[in-house]
Amino acid sequence: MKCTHTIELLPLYAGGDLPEAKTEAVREHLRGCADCRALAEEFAAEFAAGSAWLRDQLVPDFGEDDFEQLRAAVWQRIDREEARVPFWERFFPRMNGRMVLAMASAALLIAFGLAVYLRAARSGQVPKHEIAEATPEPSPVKRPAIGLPPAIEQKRELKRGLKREFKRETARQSNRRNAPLRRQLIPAAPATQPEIARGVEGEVKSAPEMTRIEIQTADPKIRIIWFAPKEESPKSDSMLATSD
Amino acid sequence: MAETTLMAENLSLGKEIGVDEAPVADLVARARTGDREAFDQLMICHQHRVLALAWRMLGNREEARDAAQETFLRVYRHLGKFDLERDFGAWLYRIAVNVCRDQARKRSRSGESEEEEEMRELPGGDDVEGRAILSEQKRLALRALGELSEKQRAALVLRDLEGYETEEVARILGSSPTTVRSQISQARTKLRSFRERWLKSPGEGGKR
Repeated sequence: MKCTHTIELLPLYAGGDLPEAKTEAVREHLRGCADCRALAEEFAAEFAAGSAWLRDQLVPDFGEDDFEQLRAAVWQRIDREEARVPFWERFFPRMNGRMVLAMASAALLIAFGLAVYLRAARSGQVPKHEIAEATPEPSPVKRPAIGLPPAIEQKRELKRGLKREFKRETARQSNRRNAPLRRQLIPAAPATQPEIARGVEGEVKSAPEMTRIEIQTADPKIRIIWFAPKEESPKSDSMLATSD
Repeated sequence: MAETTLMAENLSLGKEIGVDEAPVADLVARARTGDREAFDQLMICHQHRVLALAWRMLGNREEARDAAQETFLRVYRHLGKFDLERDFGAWLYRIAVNVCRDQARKRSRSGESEEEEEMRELPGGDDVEGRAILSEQKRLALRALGELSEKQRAALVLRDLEGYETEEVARILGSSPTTVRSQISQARTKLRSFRERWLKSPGEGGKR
């Protein structure tokens, strides 16, 4: 270690503030350098005298009264601060101002979004599937407060009415057509036509223009019923024509 | 390690002021839950050092009282955020140093000179000669500290007057031990030259 570097470190060496390795290096240099050693002794003496002088002169002369006043003043300020607790801390004592602000903003955003949505729903700008999800299934007696636009409502009502009317008319026609057949006694036919009956049975519901045909088998407990499409064969027409 | 140092420091301080205190960590934990008695005990444990530190940093009794008040108030406000694993003393003195720095800045903004500050520190009494000597020495000591920069003064006060180790000073000031060593070295060199100027040559010292 050089003299200049050693001299730089002497203020810290004198106070014992150097790390172990540097302390040893300075000590090693001082063993071989008389000038630096003399300077180090001077620094050590000055450090001791200077520190003692400062400590002696700067003795704080605070008494017990000062300490009591200090604590009283601190408690007074604490009490004053606690008396003006922000209003949210009464409701959310563990939350700070930022958290409360974030929560209030979120609540405002949700309220705003809801208001916009309801307004759009009333004016009919919301897609149908969204309305179906958002609004409950309307009961047949009471309509929900948030209704669909009147044009859509009318259309739907018309459709429902037509469907009901169509079903009623179909049932009426079917009954009228089948009534004479039911009364008619049909001669026993050969019992070898089950495939026809099976084939026709599937069409009962979907084909309103059907003719019901009943065949009484030899066994009085078994009656074969099937429906056939109502059509007038040209053959029978011609036969009628010829008979006439 | 830090905790044992802190415990020893507080126990010795407790003996000095005659307070039968519970361990600081326990007091801090209780104070965090709103136990006023525990916080009062904490203040009793640390008030001597906080006031002394503030007075040495600021050189004025009134300002030191204000700074100590503000320090304990900040400690009370932020006690909930304090990590119980950390050194409470270091945290407290760090707050005190910051408060003193704020006060010093406020003072410099208000334009009051350190000369005026020092004059307010002159002790009273009937012994005029003794008062004059004491006041002269005290004034010089305050002036010596006044010649240091804010950081050098904080480092020197904590190391040489309060007796903290370099690593503890670094922790309190929130800087590295190397930086603190550099500040202490500069402060000691300045103090040495100040003493040479004003105390070792009385003729010159009298010219002030």
